[in-house]
Amino acid sequence: MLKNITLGQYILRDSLIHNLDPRMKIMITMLIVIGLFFIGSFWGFLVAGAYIITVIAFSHLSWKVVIRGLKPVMFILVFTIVIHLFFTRGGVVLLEWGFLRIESEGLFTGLFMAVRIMLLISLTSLLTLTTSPIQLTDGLEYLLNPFRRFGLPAHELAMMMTIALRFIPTLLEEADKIMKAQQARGADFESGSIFRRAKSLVPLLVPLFLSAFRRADDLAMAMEARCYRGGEGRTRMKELSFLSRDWAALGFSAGFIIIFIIL
Amino acid sequence: MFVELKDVHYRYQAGEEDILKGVNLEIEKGQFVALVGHTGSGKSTLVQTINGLLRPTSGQVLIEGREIRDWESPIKVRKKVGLVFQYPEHQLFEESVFKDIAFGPKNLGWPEKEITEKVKQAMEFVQLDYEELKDRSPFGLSGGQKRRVAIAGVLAMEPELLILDEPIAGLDPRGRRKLMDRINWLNEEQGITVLLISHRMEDAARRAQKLFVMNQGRIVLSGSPQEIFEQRDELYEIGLEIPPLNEVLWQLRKCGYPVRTDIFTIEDVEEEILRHWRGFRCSKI
Ligand SMILES: Nc1ncnc2c1ncn2[C@@H]1O[C@H](COP(=O)(O)OP(=O)(O)O)[C@@H](O)[C@H]1O
Ligand SMILES: [Mg+2]
Repeated sequence: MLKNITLGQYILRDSLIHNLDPRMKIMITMLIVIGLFFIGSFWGFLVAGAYIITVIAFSHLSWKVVIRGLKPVMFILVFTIVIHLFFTRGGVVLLEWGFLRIESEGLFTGLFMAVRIMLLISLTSLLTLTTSPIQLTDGLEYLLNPFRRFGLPAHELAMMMTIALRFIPTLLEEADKIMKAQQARGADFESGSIFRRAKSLVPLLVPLFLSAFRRADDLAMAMEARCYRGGEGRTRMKELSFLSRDWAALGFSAGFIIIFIIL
Repeated sequence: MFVELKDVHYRYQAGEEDILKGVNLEIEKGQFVALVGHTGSGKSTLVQTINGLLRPTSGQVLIEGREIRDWESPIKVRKKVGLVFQYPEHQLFEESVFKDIAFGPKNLGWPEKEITEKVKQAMEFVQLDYEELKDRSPFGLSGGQKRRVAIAGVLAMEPELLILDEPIAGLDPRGRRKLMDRINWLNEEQGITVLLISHRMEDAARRAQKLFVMNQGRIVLSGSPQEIFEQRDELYEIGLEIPPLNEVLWQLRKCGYPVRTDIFTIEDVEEEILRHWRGFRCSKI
């Protein structure tokens, strides 16, 4: 059952995009996301779409992977379009049927919003697809470091994220095991009313939480045994440094941003 | 035949390598059999096909001559074939020992009175005191007790075949011996067919009537413990070691002493060695 869930959607490739500095990738993604909100015409979206296609091409990933990332937000896309169709007024009347009325402004805004969401999601999923969780948290830690003087625990946040990501597959595996063990005792997780199903989760969740706490405790002990005491004075094995390709990527992306905002 | 596997293949993910690569296996009613193999050889995967938790990608699993998917419901199969997972104490969840053991019988829809009876009996089977422990939280018990509560949780469903996946892993030597003795007792006195899984030969050696040795998704050797331990070198090759006692006899034989190698208890081995000690002079030992 649980084996269908694919998490940690990083896909290892040896590509230009994969090898970029994670800090640069995060910053560029943020810039583009902001840029997407300033786009005022469909032409702008077309250019932004072209940008994303270029990135996919350079990342040696297949189309399907990026499209698959859109599936979970399908509902939101449809919902957005439907809401705008029926509730945004203006322009010419396209369709009138009883109390329902669709006007051109509604159709336009709905599509506009949907395209924006689609671009946002594909862009951010491209970031996680091409950047390993470790690189991602490393990059975040670097970027958050300047805020430490305002009391932001940058290192701790990054460490928490790393650990959480690290334990997702472990917990899924554990859940699968416990589920099977309870099924061996005749438990039924798949049928019955919603209420019964919720109740049938107790034999799964109690042992799962216990095991998560046990693991957390063990890990904390193990880290302390190896003298971990937070980020203070900690040096890194791999220092991040910007290379010329990172600056090139920034320049390239900035060019696109300017174009699609102007359009 | 009570349980029969015919050319069972299994893989977890389409496109990946088979984890079970054509397993054939037969268990007769009342037998005590053991499945031995290196970690990762597919033992746990194999036994999950026997109670229908995993459906083979190809091949057949027959319980009492009927294929599992032809049974009316999976629950019926799981009642007949009780499976105790590795570290079963990790699946405890109820607030009291009684409730936890009663979880299985409840799922079978038995009446209240019968459930109480079966819980009592299951606790007796694993030597837990009913009156003393029934209202205690299972989480406050010792490791060995927790494990026995979990095993009782499966026994309470009155399975005819009891499969135990590495039941003594992580217990201290005395806890191991006691639990193994009890499993033996369940087989001999209660007539429960037992399939014991272990990655160590010596756990299985003395008790099982038949051993199945697994390697990389296949059963590579099967037979009585005596027959299996004769194949010391083959076992060595797939990363298994025969019990230390048998290894001693084996080494003695290599040195030219014609000792028997098909005995398992420390007393028998002692006698055998002493017999030869007297017969030959002790110059060589
Ligand atoms: N839920 C699972 N999903 C994918 N692969 C698994 C799963 N469980 C076990 N495996 C793989 O199957 C192989 C056999 O595992 P297992 O049956 O647990 O062996 P054993 O019990 O003999 O140690 C191992 O290589 C393991 O990685
Ligand atoms: Mg195993």
